[in-house]
Amino acid sequence: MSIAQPTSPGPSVVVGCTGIVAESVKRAFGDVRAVDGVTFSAPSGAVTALIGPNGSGKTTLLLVLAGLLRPDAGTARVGGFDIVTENLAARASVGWMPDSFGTWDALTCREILLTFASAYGLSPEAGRRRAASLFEQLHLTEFAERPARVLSRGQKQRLGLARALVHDPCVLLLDEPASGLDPRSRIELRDLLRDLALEGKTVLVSSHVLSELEEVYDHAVFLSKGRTVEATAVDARTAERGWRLDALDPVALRTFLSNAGIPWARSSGGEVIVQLAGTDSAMQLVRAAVAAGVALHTIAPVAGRLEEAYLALDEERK
Amino acid sequence: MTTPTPSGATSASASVSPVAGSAPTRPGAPRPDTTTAGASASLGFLRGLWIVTRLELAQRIRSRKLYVALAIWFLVIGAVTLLMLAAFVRSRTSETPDSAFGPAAFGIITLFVLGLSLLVTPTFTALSINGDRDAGTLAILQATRLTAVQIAGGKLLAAWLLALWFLVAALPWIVVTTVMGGISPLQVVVCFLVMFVEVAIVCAIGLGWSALIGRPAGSTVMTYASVALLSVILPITLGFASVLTMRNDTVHVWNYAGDPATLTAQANDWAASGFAPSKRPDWSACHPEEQVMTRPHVESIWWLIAPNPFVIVADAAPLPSGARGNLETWAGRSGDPLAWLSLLTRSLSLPPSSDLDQCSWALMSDNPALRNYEVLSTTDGGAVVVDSKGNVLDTGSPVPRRIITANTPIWPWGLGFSLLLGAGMFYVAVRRLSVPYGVLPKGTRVA
Repeated sequence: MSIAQPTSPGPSVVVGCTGIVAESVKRAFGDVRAVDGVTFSAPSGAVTALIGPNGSGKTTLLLVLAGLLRPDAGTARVGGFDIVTENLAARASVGWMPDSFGTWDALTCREILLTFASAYGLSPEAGRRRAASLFEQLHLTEFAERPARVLSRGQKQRLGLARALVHDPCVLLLDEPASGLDPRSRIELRDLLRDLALEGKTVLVSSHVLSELEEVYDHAVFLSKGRTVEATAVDARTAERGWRLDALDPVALRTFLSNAGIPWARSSGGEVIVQLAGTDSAMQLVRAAVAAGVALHTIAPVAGRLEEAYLALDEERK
Repeated sequence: MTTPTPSGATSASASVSPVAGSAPTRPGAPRPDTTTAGASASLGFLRGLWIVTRLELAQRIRSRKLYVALAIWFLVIGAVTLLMLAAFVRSRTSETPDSAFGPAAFGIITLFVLGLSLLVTPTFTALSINGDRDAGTLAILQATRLTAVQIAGGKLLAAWLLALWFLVAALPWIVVTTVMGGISPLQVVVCFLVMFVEVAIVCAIGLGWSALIGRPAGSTVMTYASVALLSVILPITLGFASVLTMRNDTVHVWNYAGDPATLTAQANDWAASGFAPSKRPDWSACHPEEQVMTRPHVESIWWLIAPNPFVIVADAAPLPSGARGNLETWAGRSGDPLAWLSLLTRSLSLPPSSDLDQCSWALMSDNPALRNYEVLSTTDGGAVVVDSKGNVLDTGSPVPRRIITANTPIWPWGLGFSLLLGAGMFYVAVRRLSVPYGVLPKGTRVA
């Protein structure tokens, strides 16, 4: 699956798409400092996850990067263009998918895409080809001639993604793109984001559902109270975290753990959860279990990397 | 393990942790093409404008509501027109030709259509910006290469074209009124064009309010209030404020000192001669007396009604060439409400006359049935003598008569002011749509 190139069939070198660079970006609404010092960079050819609790300023930051909000302080460049002094060029190189957006009731999905294609300066012919390939890719072809209002939430979400991609932007800003998508669509979205990154695009994606991002992101930017924060560097070898264990004979596993003096708890699925101090301990436990004849077949961290880092953020929810 | 990109990450590739099944950043790999023509290619102004216009029009044209509204509009105006024509036909006497009613019929329907347009037009734009913002369709348009001028202009153009539909739907009935005669095609065309400009101004006002006020109800109220201000509230204000302009003036009141019967007899001879100038009555007994009167000086505040849409259309309506020299005569003879409105506005703009003619009333001391002329009061307290056809006669009275002409138009001032107002509101809309946003209107979100 790859984004069809409407004008050039093969990959070639693009000039000037240099990802996202934000320096000390601040933006307040009255007294509310929604974004209060955000510094990060998202390189091209990679998926960058934007992570933070509700109200941490993710959406505002994306609005700033989409060229819609003027930062009170700081600078940001997207695709090589300053979002304030080169706003139009910056907007043209960004595909922005907001967390919520509307559709034009009277227009069909195809008309909406064609409208946006022309609003981004594509020729009618290029717009038509682009729309057709996006519909194909996002499984919307059967809805192309239907009014957008009849779409389900997930289908609307896919249409919104198509809209953000219609001008083949070099920077993609996606605000909660997976919300409302069914599991299959989520997996396809993940693959799509990976493909886009492989094509050299800059993909910045925010989500609450960390498991969505877990398998797709290259970098993560953590936001808390409007600031980028450094997640506590977790050393995987020594950091304590929960591990999920399962064996062919669960009773033998529990007996082994009790004998070894390792505290354990039963998870809802009948598996066993233990707290281990990092990968070294896990490796030792596997070795000991196998040596003891326990038919261990599963050992995995309970939480994903992102979740670990997310939960390690100190400034969380007060 | 995850190394989140730290603040101010220097090297991107250093902080990458490969993810199972997916490739990390490949340093040195050629960046594939993106077809983003990006900064260089420009979206033509008119093309961008038309994208927005088409989008707005599609929303309206594909809704059945528009056609229902147009049908009701057509039927209401048609019903009023036919009723009015029926009333005219019934009320006319055998010797009055149909064309005597032509200007009145045309004027009434023109003002009626204008009034209805002022009621309908605000709905075309009063929600066009805050409504889109609520629907979540504004920000994604602003994020494209469309500029604020293109978005605001496209919306204005769409609303204007919609208003044109309504005016065109009313046009057949306006044309029907001209079958009675006395109306030139030029009059129809000019009135139509001025109304077309007026609705554009209303559209721009609505657009400005919808950009300024976040709540749709608020912008709707303010748009209607603005239209009401121009067409109703300012005239009422003028009425009350005129009392405040009262001043003591010394006025020459001309009275007839002799026997009125003598003058009336002379006047009847004059009438019998076909109003020959040589047979005019003898006014030697008519003398002025100085008298102090408290009178309003509306001429200092008359401009309050200059931007009134009805006044603008009425004053812009062309008159028959013979009527321009004396508006009062024409208005009296034709009953044309447009001429009356224009006359009223012009008379308000003039200072009250310093002479008061009470001599002319002495011409009426006989049996009115025998007389083929009539004395009429004028709006400034004087009097004129008119023949049975409504022509103002020069009686030779020593009191200077004031004739209000339609030779210099006053509507360009009102229309100019209204256009400035509309342009100002359009500018407000453009400013409010310009991204990146500095200050957001209260209570609004970007998306």
